[in-house]
Amino acid sequence: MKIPVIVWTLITITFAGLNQAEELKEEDVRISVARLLTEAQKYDGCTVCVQGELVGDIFRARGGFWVNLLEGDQCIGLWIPDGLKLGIGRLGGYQVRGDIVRVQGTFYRHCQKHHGGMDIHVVSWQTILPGYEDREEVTGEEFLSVALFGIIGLCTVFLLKIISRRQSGSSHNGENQRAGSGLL
Amino acid sequence: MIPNFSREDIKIIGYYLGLMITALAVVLCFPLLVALFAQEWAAVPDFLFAIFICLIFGFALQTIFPAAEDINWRQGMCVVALTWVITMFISAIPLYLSGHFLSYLDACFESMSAYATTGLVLIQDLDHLSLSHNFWRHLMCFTGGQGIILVGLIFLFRGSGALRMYIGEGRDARILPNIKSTARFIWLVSFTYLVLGSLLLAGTLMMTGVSFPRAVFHGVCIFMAGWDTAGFAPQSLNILYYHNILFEILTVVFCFLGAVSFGVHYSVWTGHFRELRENYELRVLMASVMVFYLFTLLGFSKSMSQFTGVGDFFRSTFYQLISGHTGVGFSNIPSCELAGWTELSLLGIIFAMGLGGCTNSTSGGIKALRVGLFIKSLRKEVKRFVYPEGASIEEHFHHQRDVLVDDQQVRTSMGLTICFVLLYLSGALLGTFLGYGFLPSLFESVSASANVGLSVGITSPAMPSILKIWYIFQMWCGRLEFIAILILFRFFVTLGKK
Repeated sequence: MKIPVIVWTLITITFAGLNQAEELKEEDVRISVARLLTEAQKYDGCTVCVQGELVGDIFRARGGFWVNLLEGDQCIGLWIPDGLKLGIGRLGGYQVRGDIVRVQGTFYRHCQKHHGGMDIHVVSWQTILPGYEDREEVTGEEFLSVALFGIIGLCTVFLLKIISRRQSGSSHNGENQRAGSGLL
Repeated sequence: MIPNFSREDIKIIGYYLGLMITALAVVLCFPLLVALFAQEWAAVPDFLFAIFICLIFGFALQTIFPAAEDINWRQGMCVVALTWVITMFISAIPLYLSGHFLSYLDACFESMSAYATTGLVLIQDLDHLSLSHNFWRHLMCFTGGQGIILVGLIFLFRGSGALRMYIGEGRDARILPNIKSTARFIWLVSFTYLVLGSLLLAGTLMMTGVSFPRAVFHGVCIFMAGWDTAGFAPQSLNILYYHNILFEILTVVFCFLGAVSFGVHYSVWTGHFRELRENYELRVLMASVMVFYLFTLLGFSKSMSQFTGVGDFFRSTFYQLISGHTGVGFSNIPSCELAGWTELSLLGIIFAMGLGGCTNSTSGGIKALRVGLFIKSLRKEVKRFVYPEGASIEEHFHHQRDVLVDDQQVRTSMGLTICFVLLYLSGALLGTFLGYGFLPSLFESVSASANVGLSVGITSPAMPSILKIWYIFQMWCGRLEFIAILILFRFFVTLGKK
């Protein structure tokens, strides 16, 4: 009795191990968000691994929260259940680069839980690179050149206005003189 | 035949153009204030530069072409058409300086798309754009939706010239006897809805934990894009970014409000709720929504299984249809997903986009009233054959008042409808010539011409420049409804001859 149980256990463990290894292998293959979106039907319901920058805001919802992941010029929503422990440092925005994360989760083309939206239900999470501020230096020269451009331009227009007023004034005077001589 | 333009015409056109460009400087002050408030110092010079260009160019034109006379019809039309082009060029300056566009042409495309309330975008890395530049994109939608000229009407113009320019901007109804009070009413309605709508959207976002300033910013931007049927959004995922069904429902309501004629809004505001039930144009709009949704349903009849339920199906398909029909262009699915729809479903959306919303609203396309007029005239013709000879045959409809269908009206609306169809086909043929499929090309062309903004993926920074230029032209023509542009062409022909 003992031998069959040991054999069965060994076979089960081996199969489970093989399956685990295969699953991990599949999960480890990173898919680009662009490919995921264009081949949504193929990956629907599959475990996928995507990497990208967290951008925008966090939206709380019942049982978890939403955050969006950007890779290249494509973005996808990540659903993160409450139980998952993770630390989000920064979210990408103006002059801020968000955390670069690698997430594993199940991709849904039409998520039943979330009214049919396209999303990834995150299972595990790894921060590859923490976010940082990406401030653009503004030089005084930039402001000065714009101000100079404005002042010179407006002065030119103002001068133009004075000249045209004088010209129209002198032409009016001429007309008045001609009219007066006519009367005389 | 339109008579040739004289030197005096050029003077008056130049003067009023100068006035409009000066008014643009005032509008540009709003994103500048946002930049200062949000301490986005790098964005400040971009807006200052554009403001100075407006002031210099605007005052220079007023000085070079001093005019004291009132503007006539053809001059008004030229001013409108030229204002839209020059405004596009100037408004694109801060966008281009933001560094989020591959070329100045792309920034011009984005600017015209915003003013014409189209919503097709060529911006790159939108998720890292400054608040002030993002606000500017949406403010352009709001200004263009009400009408650039309408901004000027309140502050700058006196006399009957105002009406001429108002009509040149694709508006053909005076809600109140005075054009200035009509303009004020339109702005009153728009600002009231802006405050209420933005607060509602912001409140919805705050319920999901978004901070008050962020929620207000998103609320204001999404409302401006929805009410003005533009379809821009502050983030690259468009409406899908919010993952919020209530938010989506609110945007559908605003899409409808934007697609309804200001005349109907006026009736409702003054307590005449009966108008909602009796207005012929609204009835046509509702009927066409139902008919074209049937197209979409039939298109999906063999691939229903991909949806998880009725709710999911309705959310995915009805939202795109309403968004397309009202000319908004908001999307809650990625463009590649839309491109994968069946041909029949895409045709349903194409027809809905081509038809558009109501006349004298912020939406584009052929407009429900013109389709209604066509149906009425067909009925009249059928009656002519059926009824005894010499019988008086009349067709009426209710559009704020009882209107008798006359041949002149039908001819005008048919003429405009033909122009729209030709415009739709021109973009589709160009797209096909450049190597895209006919149906996607037609989809994108109708989306641009009818000022919708839904995309199946053709519109991107990588598309050929000639197609970008043609789409700009289509958006311009579609928004101004041809007349002003045809008169402008005549103006240029006259200049060429001289």
